[in-house]
Amino acid sequence: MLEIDRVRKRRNERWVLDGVTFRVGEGVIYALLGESGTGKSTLLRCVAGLETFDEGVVRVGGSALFESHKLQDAVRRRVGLVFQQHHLFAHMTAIQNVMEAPVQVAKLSIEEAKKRAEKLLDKLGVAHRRDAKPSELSGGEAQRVAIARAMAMEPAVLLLDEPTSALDPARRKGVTELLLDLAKGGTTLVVATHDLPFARDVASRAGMLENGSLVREGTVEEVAGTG
Amino acid sequence: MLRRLYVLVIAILGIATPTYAAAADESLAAVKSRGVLKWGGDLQGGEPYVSQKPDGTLVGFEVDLARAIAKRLGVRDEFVQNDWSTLVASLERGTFDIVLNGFEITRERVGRVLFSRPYYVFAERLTVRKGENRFKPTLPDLHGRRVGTLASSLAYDTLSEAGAEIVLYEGQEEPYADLAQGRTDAVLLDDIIAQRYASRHEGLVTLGDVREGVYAIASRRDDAQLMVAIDEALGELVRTGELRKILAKAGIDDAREEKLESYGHPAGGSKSIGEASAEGPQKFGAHHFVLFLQGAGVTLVVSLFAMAIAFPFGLLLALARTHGASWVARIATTYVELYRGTPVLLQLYVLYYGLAPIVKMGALTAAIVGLGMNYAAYECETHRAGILAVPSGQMEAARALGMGIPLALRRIIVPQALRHALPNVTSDFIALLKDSSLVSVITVVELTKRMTIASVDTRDWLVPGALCAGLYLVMSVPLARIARSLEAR
Repeated sequence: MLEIDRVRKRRNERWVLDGVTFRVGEGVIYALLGESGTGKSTLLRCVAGLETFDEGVVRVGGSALFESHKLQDAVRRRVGLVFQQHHLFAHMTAIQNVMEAPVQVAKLSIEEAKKRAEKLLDKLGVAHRRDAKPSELSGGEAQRVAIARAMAMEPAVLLLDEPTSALDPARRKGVTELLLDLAKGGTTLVVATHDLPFARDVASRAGMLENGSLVREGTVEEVAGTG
Repeated sequence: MLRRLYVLVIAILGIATPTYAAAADESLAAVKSRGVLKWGGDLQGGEPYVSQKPDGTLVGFEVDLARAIAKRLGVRDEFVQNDWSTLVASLERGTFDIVLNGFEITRERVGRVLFSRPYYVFAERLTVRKGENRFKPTLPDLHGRRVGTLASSLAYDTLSEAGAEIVLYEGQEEPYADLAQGRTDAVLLDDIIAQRYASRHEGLVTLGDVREGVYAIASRRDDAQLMVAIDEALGELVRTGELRKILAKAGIDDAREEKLESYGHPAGGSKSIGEASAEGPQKFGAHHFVLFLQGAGVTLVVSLFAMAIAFPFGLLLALARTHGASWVARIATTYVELYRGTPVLLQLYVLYYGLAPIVKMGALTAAIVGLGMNYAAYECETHRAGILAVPSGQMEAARALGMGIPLALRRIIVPQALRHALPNVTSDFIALLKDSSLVSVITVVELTKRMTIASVDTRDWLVPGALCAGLYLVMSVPLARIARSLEAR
């Protein structure tokens, strides 16, 4: 379970996050909607521990993950983040990208990490690209490798920033199924997107961000329909 | 053809100066019409030869001597500063008319230049540390000993003959400083140098004199007319006792100088000049080639080991500047500014001579450490550029996966940064290969130093120079190739 409690963040004398509060239960997919520039990415980066915030608490499974300024590597790995530009490690192949954190951070053996990576790449339909460098992957392939990389750490919470921006409709369907699968397995997911059809397909709950505040919550229809 | 005919005519007519029969020689006329006799020397030689007072005036017994000779020629004298090791080359290209600077008559020089009669008789003095009892001041005893001296000096010839392990210096102070530090077994140099410089070190004593040598004035080979006039002027200074007065004023007149009179008219004086045709220069041969290869080996060893220090140390500095705490970054920045903003020559001097009382370091070690520390400053900037070229998303992705900063740097950032830095690292290494020639100031004989020594021995710059350049290329070109193939991967 992910709990975001009155999180505020100031940047250049302006509140870019202004008291955001919501909860996402275990196995639930939550869609974070809103125009670009309303604070979706910033909120995800704060929850992933890449940025500090000024007030409020983020809790995962009941325990405080971050209290404003304290960023901790140890707890950071319980939250996964898939970037919009995926940021795959440029000097590594697809499978090395996926194996890196399990081996270096979770201290899995290379054998175990490899097994896990192969399974994930297979599930995401990019097993045949395992030895390709990021520069050789298409946008959709890179996106799926990036999802596999985040999932390889088996995070309790997985955050995705615009996961469908690089995908054609067929691929988008694949990602939708994958996320539903993950949720079924108990992972808590937050998807920042302005792709409403996609949000409708995956998310059971949604919130609308405007100027750093959560202005509406409900189902995707309720939140987007009235807006 | 015409020239040879002219010589023949002079010989037949029995003109009085057959030894100088160098055809239409206007050297003396040129000096007289100019009204100035230009003499070359190196102020670094210092007292008592030629040195400069704080107000800019020149002092030394050679200043007085040059003035006295110029006066007798009816002209004014003018001193021209020139690096000691290139005095002959500058003389030949016409920078000045004569060399007058503790210039010893040696086998290599006779034949390349014309010498006057001697104006000073000195002894090759062997200086050692107090309590030295392993050897005596004789040639056979010097075999295999580590002995310091100056390049292209009579002492250097003497030590080569004796089979000593020669350590070459550029200045007079350093050989004695190194001897006092225990880096050499002895120093062999002219007695007037030993008197001035050895006495500054408490632990040093004179072991004895090995042989005698003389200083004389040198002119270009073709300037026989000028040399005849200078030789005559000098002869008069000797006869009238003026020369001894000049020497006495400098405090270097001694019993040995009695001999100055007997060197000279007519056989003695022309003898030193006459030897010219008898002794040819050394030929550049296989033996030089082997020495050059050794020099190239030293260059390569110094460069490789220096880079082995500069590369990782530079990377650490770069990481300190980009990811360190602010005070760590400040220290790294200061280091870079300090080492990049001061001459590497000065850094080598400070490390080898300045810090000698604190850190005992061999010359080769000092060369490697000195160059390594200097180049670390440049490698820091090269690595920093590489690190900054890695997109910031790479670090964020690593952090989002739970990696700490050190782990992310090691696994994600640095491997990518190295790829960006590689072309510049290669460039830096080639620059280092060439800059390694600077370490000759702290007695390491590498390729360029070997080349300058050989060019003095053979009186030729062209062949040694071309071979030296060729060897540098042989080292640098394959390196560039390897780097290119690494970049391609």
